[in-house]
Formats: sequence, C-alpha cells, structure tokens
Amino acid sequence: MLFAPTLEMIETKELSKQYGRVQALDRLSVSIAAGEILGFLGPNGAGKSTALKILSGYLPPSSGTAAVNGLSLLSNSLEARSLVGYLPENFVAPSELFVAEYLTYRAGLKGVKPAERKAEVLRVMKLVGLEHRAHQRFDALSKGYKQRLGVADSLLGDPPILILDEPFSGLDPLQRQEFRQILRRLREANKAIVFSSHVLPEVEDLANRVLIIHHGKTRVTSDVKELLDSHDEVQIVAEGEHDLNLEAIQNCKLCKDAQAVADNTFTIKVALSQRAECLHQLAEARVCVTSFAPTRRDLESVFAEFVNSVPGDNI
Amino acid sequence: MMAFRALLRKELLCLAISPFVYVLLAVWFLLNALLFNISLDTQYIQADLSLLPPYLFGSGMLVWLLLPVFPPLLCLRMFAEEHRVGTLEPLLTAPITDSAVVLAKYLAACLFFLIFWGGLLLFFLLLDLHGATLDWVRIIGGFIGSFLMSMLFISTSLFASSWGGNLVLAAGGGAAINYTMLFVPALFQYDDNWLGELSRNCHLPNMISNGFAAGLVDSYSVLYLVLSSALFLFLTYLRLISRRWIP
Repeated sequence: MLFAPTLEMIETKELSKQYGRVQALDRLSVSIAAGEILGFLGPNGAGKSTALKILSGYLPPSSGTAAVNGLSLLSNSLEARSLVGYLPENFVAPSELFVAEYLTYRAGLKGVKPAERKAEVLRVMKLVGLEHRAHQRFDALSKGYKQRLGVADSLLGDPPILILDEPFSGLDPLQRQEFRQILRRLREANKAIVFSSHVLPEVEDLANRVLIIHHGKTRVTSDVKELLDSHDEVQIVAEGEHDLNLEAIQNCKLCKDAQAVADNTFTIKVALSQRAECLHQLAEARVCVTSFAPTRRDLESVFAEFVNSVPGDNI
Repeated sequence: MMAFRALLRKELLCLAISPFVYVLLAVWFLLNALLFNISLDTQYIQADLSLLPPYLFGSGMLVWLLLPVFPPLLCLRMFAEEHRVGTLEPLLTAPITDSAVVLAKYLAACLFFLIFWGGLLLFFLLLDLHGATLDWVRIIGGFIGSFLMSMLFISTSLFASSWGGNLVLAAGGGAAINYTMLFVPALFQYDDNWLGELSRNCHLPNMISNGFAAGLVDSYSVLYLVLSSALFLFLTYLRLISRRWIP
C-alpha cells in the first residue's frame, strides 16, 4: 500500500471503552502528528493499555472513533494495522521459535517481501542490539532481551506509527539509554510514536507531549515543556509582617496556590511569562520581596498532583 | 497471501517442534497399533481381509474413541494456548485478515494430521509386505473418508479453541462437539420418523464404512463433510472478528 502521510497520524475522538460496568476509557480525544512522541501516563488501571489496544486494532471501542493516517481502525482495520508497529504490554513470542525465526515469520506477516526479509530482520536486530541472540529461543532470553525482541518486532517493515505499551519495562539503565536513542532517531525519521510508561524521567526526557489519564478520564494533554513551566513553583522570601505579606500574595491575581512554608517564606505558582508582572504586582501591594527563586518541578511531581487532585484517590 | 503463507509456515514449524505433538503422535500410533492387532485377531476379519478397512476406518474403536479426541488436543495451541500465553495479541494486530488466520491454522492442522493417518497406511503396507491380499481401493477410500472426517473434527476443534484461553474448555468443548456428531445420529438412526431419517443422513461412521471404506466415494458424503467443516470454520471466523467488532 502506498503510504501518504497526513499531518495527524493518530486521531481519536471521544473514544470510550466499557468492560461490563467498568468505564475503562472515557471520551479520549487526542491527535499525534508525524515526528511527535506522546507519553501516555496514568497509574495502574487508568486505561492506558486499553487505549493502546484500541489504537493497535486489537480491541474495538465502545463508542467514539480512532483512526491512523486517516484510516478508521474499524472500517479499514487491515490497512490501518499495516501502518502501525505495536508492542503489547506483556510481549510474548512462541517459546519454540528462535529469535531470527520469529522475526522472519513476523516480517512475512507484515508484508516484507521474501527476498528482503533476511536484511530487514538483520536491520531490526542490529537496531535493538539482538544480533548476537539470533539463535536463542524466546524462553532462553532474559527479560530485557525479550523486551528488545518485542521492540524489534514493532519496528519490522518500518511502520510510520509506533504504539509501545511500557517499552522500558524490564530494561536495565544502559538498555534504557540505548532505547531512548533509538526512539529519538525514529522521531527524527518522522515517525509518530505513542508510548506508555511508569518511568516518568524517561517520558520527560523523550516525549514532546504528555497525556495523563486517571480512571479512564483525560486529566491533561499538554506539551511537556509548557506543562512543567506552568507548574513551576516560585519561592518568595519577604520582609515585614508575615500575615500581611501572605494576604497580599494571596490577593495577587497572578499568584496561584500561594502557601506559607515558613515565617515570611511562601511558595506560589506563576507562569514563566508572567513572573516579571507578578513581581511588579507584589511590589505595588507593598510586599518587600528579598528573594524570588523559581524552583523547577519534575514531571513526577506534576503527575502526582494531577492524579491526587481527584477526590479520594491517591497514588 | 504473503501473510497467509508466513503464518502457515510458522504453524507447521511450531507443530513440528512441539514436544506435546510428539507425545500425541506416540499415543496415537501406540493405540492404533493395538487396535490394528486386535482387529487382525478377529475371526471374521481373518476370514476376509477386505472387511478390515470398513471396520478400522468406519465402525471400529479408532473412530468412536480416538478420532474425536486427538484433533482438539492438536488444535489446543492454535487459539486457546495463544490466547492464554499472550501471543494472540501480536498476531491479531498484524496486517493479516481474520479469514487468513483461521485458514492458515486449519490447513496447518490438516496437513499435520496426514502424519497421523500416514502411520495407519504403514500398517497396511506391512501386511502387504507379509503377503496378505489387500483391497487397496477400500484402504485408500477409507483413508480419504477418515481424513475428510478428521478435517471436520479439526474445524470443530479450532472453533472450540477460539472460545478463549481456557485449555480444558477448548479440548473438552472440541471433543464434546465431535462426540455429539458421532453419538446423536447413532442414537436416533433406527427411528421411523424425520429424526431417524436425518440421523441416518448424518451418521459419520456409516458414511465411512458403507461408502469410502467400501470403495465408494459418495458425493453426498464428500459434500456433507466439506460443508460441515466450512460451517465450523465460518463460526471460528465469526468468533475472531467479533473481537474486533463487538464493543
């Protein structure tokens, strides 16, 4: 099939999935462009794997639509699946087959011509560092190598879209570093990549955008940098009457979530672009600021904040 | 077609290197050798060796005891085991049609089952080498009929295997369908009503012993076995596509 990329490689609209009475996914709408990496975040049971299974064509949604490169995963499932490389959450290959045998079989399934299969298998094995394990059976591989095999499988046929469910699971720190490099190269090659992970520093390092879901509901979809910028805290140290200063800071329109953390020491949230204006407003409110120090928050703490903000839920 | 061939090759390879399949083959050959020996010891067969093919292929213990059980055991791995261990997900997310998945697995099981029947032909060859006068038309006819019946039982077993990841349900369900197809017509075949008529027309062992193994290839029997197999393959296909379509 001739591949003609569209701007939005993956697009879901109001995607929902119910298992009996359980709402696993609730009206997920997201789009991912070519050359973009979307990090899919959420605690266990949030609906990440369900969403990725729907995007891979394995599960049908209860309602809503999902399309890859403009092809519906329901009505054009076969063509849509030919554009997607998918790594399931718990990747397993037949235990009887050798690594090279398995990848050759998968290359055939994915329409790689017989004459090109050997070279294609070698290419993906080299890409994930599996070439020395070509003649080992799946059962004899360590967890990290099993995961590499799953990643190699998803890369077969050079699909323009990659959907990876927990790709870092089971990889040691060195393998993670290598895999991050691979994903970066794939992004440079204009692939659209969606991956879920519990390793938030990896997501922060790799993804252009993040989507946080909890109980199937989208909590936030945002550019990673923008999300972190908007959640940066600023620590203010002031002089004078503590209570008056706190009242003035709380009344400042640009200061969000103002809290006193010690005597005349406060934390506020303020967007990077509004910090000068915020400082100006505090001066007008007669707060004698002696220190105004932004503290960078990481994705982990922002993620925890989103998830914990749901009443009755903690991670 | 490329994906179909790749899956067929993989299924054949997995069957060929699976220790479980070799255990099945060993048990099948052992029991068949015993039944063959018992049949040869029977007085009326010693008197007329041309009765051996109808007895062995059609009305003997091979058909009533072994044949309904072995295809479900062979087909266990096809869907149920793949579902249980998690290899079905990568398969069904690959760009291959559901019909190609069903047909590739079915064809692989059928081709492999030829080895099961090939062993029985070897017994007849041994008899021939020992100077027995055999009616090879009846033997080959019985072989074809039994193989067509095996193809039907493989299709029912594939259907049972597609129900989910429960291996007991897959094997038991397949065997239950096969035994039902054997015993229900046998129970009602002597009734003098429409049920009796229907049962006589669906009586599989009679189709083999009075038809194929008697050297008569009846187009009704061939069509019945082929269309019944197609029906169960279609049901397997429906089961598979329901995963994609039923929310």
